[in-house]
Amino acid sequence: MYKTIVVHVDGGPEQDSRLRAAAWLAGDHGAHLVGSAATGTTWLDYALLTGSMGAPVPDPASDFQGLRNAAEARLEMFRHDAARLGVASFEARLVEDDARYALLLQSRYADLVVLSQDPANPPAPALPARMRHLPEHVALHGARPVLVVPPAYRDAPIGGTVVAGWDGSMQAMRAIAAALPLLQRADSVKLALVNPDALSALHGEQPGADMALYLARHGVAVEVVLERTGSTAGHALAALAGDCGAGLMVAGAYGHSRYREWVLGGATRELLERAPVPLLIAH
Amino acid sequence: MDYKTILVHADVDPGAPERIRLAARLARAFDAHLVGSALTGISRFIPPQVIAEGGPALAGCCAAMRRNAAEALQGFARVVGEEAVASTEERLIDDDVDGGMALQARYCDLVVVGQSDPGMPTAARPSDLPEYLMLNGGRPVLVLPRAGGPYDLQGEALVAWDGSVEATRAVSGALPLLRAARGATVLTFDGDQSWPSAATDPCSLMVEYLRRQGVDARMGRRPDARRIAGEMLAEAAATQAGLLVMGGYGHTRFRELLLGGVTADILQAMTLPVLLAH
Repeated sequence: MYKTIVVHVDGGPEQDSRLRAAAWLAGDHGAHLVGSAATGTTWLDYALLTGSMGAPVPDPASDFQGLRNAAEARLEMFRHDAARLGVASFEARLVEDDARYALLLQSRYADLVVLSQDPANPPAPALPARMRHLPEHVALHGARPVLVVPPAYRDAPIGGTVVAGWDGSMQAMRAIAAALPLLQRADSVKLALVNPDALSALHGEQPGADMALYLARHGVAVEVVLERTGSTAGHALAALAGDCGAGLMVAGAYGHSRYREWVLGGATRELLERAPVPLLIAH
Repeated sequence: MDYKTILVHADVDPGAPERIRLAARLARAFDAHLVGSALTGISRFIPPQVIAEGGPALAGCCAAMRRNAAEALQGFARVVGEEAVASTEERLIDDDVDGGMALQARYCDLVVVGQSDPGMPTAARPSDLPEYLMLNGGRPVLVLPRAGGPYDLQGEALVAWDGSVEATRAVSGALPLLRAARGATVLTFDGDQSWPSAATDPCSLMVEYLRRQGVDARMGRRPDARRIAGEMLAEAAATQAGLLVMGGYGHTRFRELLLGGVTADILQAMTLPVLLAH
């Protein structure tokens, strides 16, 4: 059971879909919801700002008050929205650092972090570099699973049919274990193996059988689906999710090295950009 | 999440019956499937024909290793029979102990092994099995002390909390045990530091998190100490804790080798069951 869920509060256009997903889960699991906002100023910014001779030294107490007020205003909106969406137990937390640090800090004390998909076409002015790729940053540097919500999400149940990618990797295993509370509530879970013959060393003699048994012992209604396809793993998983009307996808993040993903393209990036439904990832 | 598949290492060590008994009781308490795994120590990378053509000395050696493993499984069967575990499974596998256990760890929720004896490593019992499983198995590892039982996992528990990713993983992996424990103390070594607010104090944040998960948790802040491992074990003795939960190797192994490290110290000097994750 998820008992503490953290949601990113940045006041951006995707916040509504993200909050709806977080509120739905908090309601379904009886969880406490933490809204995390950050001022966006790091100690590095402060050091760079004051590092040159003759630069006026800002007073952290007063000169950053504007940023604090802005973050506080976003948190006020979050409190309002959380109450409107019927969340029973919630709180707002402000961290004076950038959002990546704030989310990693809060994630230590939570079972799940809810974030949004990166926008496919970043609006102008573009997001600062450190705000992009938030889901993978939190998944790679933290120990908690991340739920990546597509901007089109409205109050659909996060469950029903679930598509979980399984390639035998440690990352996929972590994602599946972290998703257990969701998998146990789902009507059916499709354990999807894309071209398992190509990676036979990581699977047993019958690809998927061991993991299916593990899930069945946890009371999950699991079914192994073998996909043999010429297209990429990310594409195959997304297509399968579309075909069976899935409400959730589960995948390990970056089982391959980032260099290899960068050169060859990878399932993780594809799914992060265009998963049609909420996607749970872990590293 | 509860434990639904538990893997226990079966060997012919004198501590094995106690270890299997504890795993069996956990399996019964959580209604889990218990896998007893005995590994011969014969590498799976040696093709069978090499052993077949290797002459009587090699064949005799391999037969002795298989006999040991089979004997370990008989011990496993005896204990799980006494403890009346509903669902069990015995596995006899030709493989190295560390690699073979790590592969099976993938399909279970908890791995139970014994503390190693650095004085007498054998093929059937490498000196770094707990560390290897923690680093390569991907699942929480419950290490039981060489000194033996009886173990009391339902008493007090101690959570060593430093905010690291490793410690976070250990806490999630230990949740079912922490819920079953009478209470848990969250131990941080930051007592001489002041946090600006409760929302940034790692000790109180972790206590809140655990309470929401149904654990009767309380704060235990200590000043920074030079020998953390010793302090942790002293605290465990003082609170009569039956379980220690900690992340393993948050620092690089190279640094631990040079400077000494909490993980290595605990694995060497532990006096109570320790749940580790990396």
